Amino acid sequence: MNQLQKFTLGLALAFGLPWLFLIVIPWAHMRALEPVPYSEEDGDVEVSAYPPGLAGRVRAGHRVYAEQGCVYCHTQMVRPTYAGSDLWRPGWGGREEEGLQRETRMQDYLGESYAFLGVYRNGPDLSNVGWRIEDPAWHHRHLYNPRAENEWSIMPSFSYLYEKRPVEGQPSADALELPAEFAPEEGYEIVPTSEAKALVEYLMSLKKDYKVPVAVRKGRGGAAPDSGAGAGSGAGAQGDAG
Amino acid sequence: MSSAKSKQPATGGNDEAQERALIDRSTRMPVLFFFTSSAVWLVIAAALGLVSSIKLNVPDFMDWGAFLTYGRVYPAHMNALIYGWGIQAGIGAGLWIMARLCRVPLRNPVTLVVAGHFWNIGVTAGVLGILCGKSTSILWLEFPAFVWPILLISYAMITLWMIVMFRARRVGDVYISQWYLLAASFLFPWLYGTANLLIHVFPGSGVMAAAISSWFASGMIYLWFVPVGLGTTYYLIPKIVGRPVYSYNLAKAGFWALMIFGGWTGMQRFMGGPLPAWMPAMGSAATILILLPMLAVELNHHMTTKGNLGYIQYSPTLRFTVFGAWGFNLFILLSVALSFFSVGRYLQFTHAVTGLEMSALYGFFTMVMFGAFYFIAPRVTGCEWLTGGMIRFHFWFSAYGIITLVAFMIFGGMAQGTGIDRWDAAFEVSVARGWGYLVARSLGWGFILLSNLMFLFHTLLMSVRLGRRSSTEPTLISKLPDDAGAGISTGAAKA
Repeated sequence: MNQLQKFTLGLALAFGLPWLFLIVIPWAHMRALEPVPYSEEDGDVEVSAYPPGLAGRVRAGHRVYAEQGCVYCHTQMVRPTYAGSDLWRPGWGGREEEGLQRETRMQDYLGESYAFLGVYRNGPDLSNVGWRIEDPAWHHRHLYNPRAENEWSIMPSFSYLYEKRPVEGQPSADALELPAEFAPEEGYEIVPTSEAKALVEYLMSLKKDYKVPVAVRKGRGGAAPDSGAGAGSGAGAQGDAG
Repeated sequence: MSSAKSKQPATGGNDEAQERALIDRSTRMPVLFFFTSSAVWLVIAAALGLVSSIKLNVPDFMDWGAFLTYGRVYPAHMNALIYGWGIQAGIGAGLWIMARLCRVPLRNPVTLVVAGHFWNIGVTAGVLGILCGKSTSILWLEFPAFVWPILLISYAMITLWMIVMFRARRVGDVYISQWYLLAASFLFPWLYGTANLLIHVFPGSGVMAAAISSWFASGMIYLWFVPVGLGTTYYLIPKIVGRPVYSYNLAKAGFWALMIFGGWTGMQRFMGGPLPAWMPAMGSAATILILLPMLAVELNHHMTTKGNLGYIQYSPTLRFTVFGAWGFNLFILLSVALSFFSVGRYLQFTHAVTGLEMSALYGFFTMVMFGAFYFIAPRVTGCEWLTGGMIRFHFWFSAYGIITLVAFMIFGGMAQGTGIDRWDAAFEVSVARGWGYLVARSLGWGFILLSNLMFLFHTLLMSVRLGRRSSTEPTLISKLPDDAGAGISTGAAKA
């Protein structure tokens, strides 16, 4: 064996191991994850499946979220209590009044081509923003100009996702109700484009506190071969939340 | 390396000088192509970095519609820095060092220039794609999906040329720099191909896609930028101080340790995330273990330069390269610190990550590349850099800019991170705490932009061969005193 062959073999071994065990095998396993039906026999009270599928509008909103680069300031990842205080921050972990707050799990992102777990937290986590703010009009006002809702916000304005047009006849039902300093001049209205609507639909859909089926919690559910680990942390979350 | 190096006399005879001139001439076209286009991209990246940074302070700054929204400018800036500047600068320096160490002229340089054109077309399409709203928002892979095959194929040409040169080498001994450069040439296609195939072509779970992208970003640092950077420091530092690398075995051990641990790193970015817990834990552990190769490299450089660092006052190459070598140590120490869960839980999604990434990409890699430019360009163009004053300006503004950037981002990250951690306070608190530090970030990018405008101007002059021609002495940062050793002046000048 010459030097180059030896070197190539060594490199292939050194890098091939993590490539195989950290990337390819987990990728193949997680690819097989599927929604798990809730089961009455196990004691689940919900119907249908965990997680529920995504509507077409929501998928379109997911794409707008990527195109506008929301991920560079907003995470979608609630950490368990050993790794951060996320679960204690009001509203971040899900519906507190129902005791449902928990950290995010692998299955929560099923159906999303890419999970926007996050890069920076220049803005708050959005995993459960759909519960925190249930009014689409708020989202539209906030996207149009974040300072209209939060004076301190450093979020950019997405006014280019909105159209300013003269009011002809009846004002549009979609028109934004803005505070005076952000409102357009008399005779004009601001209406969302389809992109803005899709994005808001997506934001409203972010409710990653679904009840985890008993089967998954016990490590039986789904095609996830790794659900041993997943279920373990899930149980931990239940404890933390309760 | 010590044995191999000592066989080579410091200043060879006529034949060797001729051979070197031949090699230099064969690499001129591709090296200058990659150098100039990368320098242009560096200015673009710094300008985008400055704009994105100001936008974090003043969100309505340059609010000119979709094109320049923060969520597009920031990834455009990062990708221009990584693919436009970093990889091209590394290719330029790597090709030349490889040719010199193999002692063979580069064959078919035109093909490489063609590959370089395709690379630039790919990066341009990618950056414009991001700005036009086609970003994928996938970490370090934001280019629209049609771009990656172009980049992969162009890079494959570079890999091929590296292998061909290596196989045709005329010296039996292999230098440590060659191993590093060869490894980077192999690993980029492997990393980049894997990440794109598993995310774009055979999409699986979205969470795994995020994990793969974090692994890719980290792999790019530890298995591309670090090897290319270290391959360059291992070449330049001994050359300029005129001593062989202290221990070849230590260098080799450091190399293999990096290769073994590098591939496991990255997923700690999502510690506490929805991944199986062992994956981020593995990333943390491997990153902490990278301390070992860092110590090997540091010890080697230290012993090689011991007592000879006085040249740093005069030699632009040595000054930039040694700064970069220190940047490497700092980067590894920071990344180790951030890998502990106890620290990561506060700094994970904060400005500290910017500080960390910039310490690697600029504080280490870019500064080393500047050293390589100052060394290589005179050799391939046959003229010297125009003035030491311009180099001095470039060094100080770059150094000041990057130190400001990294320091303020680390401390800013702490302020912001502890703000986020205070769950009973409004989120506003973390934003307010980070705000002041972001001003320093903009200042840092401003300095870096200024310094690199000067650098681009200087590089363009060199590429059209408008440097100093009359002198045989290299351009130094400041005048060498008369009694200084000759080692640096001639030895480093034309060797």
